[in-house]
Amino acid sequence: MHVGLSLMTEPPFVAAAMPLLEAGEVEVVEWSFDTTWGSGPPAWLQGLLDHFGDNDRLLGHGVSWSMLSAEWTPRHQQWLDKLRVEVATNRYQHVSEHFGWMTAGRFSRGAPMPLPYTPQLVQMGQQRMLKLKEAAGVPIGLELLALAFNRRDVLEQGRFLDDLLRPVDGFLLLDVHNLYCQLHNFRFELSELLDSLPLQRVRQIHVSGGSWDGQFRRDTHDHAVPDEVIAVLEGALQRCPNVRAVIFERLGDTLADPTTHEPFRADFRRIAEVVHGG
Amino acid sequence: MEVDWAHVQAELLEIFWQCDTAAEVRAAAAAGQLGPEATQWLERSADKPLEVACKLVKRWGHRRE
Repeated sequence: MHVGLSLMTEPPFVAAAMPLLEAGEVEVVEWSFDTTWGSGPPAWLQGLLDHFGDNDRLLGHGVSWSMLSAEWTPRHQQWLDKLRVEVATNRYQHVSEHFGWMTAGRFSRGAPMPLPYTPQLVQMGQQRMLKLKEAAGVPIGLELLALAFNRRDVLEQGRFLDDLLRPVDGFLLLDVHNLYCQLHNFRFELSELLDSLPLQRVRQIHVSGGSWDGQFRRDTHDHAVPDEVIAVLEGALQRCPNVRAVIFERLGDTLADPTTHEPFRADFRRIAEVVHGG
Repeated sequence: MEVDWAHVQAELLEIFWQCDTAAEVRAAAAAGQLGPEATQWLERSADKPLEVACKLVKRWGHRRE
């Protein structure tokens, strides 16, 4: 099992992460490839993608496909066409996307939204996963969503994900901060939520911090990783036998203040310690 | 019965774009044409997630005029 970073292009992220990269502490990297489609990744980042790709330590992550948008648009097809070019350019071990949907009608960008579990939506999602598998040419997976509208959405997300992943032998990307959001916002016990998920399918884990909106926990990737999320990581690792990579996520522009850089690195090292049993 | 989820999703994003509170979302949904399944789904929803959905759509959404 390897520990790594989700790469960001913002200069503050580079400044904060460089000591970890230079020291060889980052064992694997994840790149959200569709964030720079059009402009292309900066040269320094392409160098990292090449280095980690050549060492079988590069993971791909999509953020904008919107796999459960019911209306199939030219944008969806173009995204798959660009993915084919992306996987021919960079050597990804696997590619993941988000469960949920973000575009519809007049909206061409957004944030992942939940949907209720219904046979109609499962069937549509399974067709989308086949398209993703064909375009990616490497193992594909889906990330657990943070936002849910009600307790039933939370409890049924595992079944929904399993139904989508099973036909393509896909993997679950378990985001433990998203799990923490659901635990807190809908008052679940960790064991109850873990029991609802296809844990045998977990191949990758995300760890991040977030923020509070009143008493509601949000997955904003903008603050330090709280102790409670580290505890969720520890609990999840005990139940997930097939994890290959644990990735720390932090938005680059939230590291503009240089005093946040050392705490960022401390978060990374704490995660590495948990993963490697330190 | 088949649900027109493309229509429901488009309506939902418009509602989240225009509303700020769960009460506004529920009123708009009741006045709209979401259909019985999506309406029941929203009725089961807690208030705060609906409010957060409004914020998310305004923060990250890109709406064609």
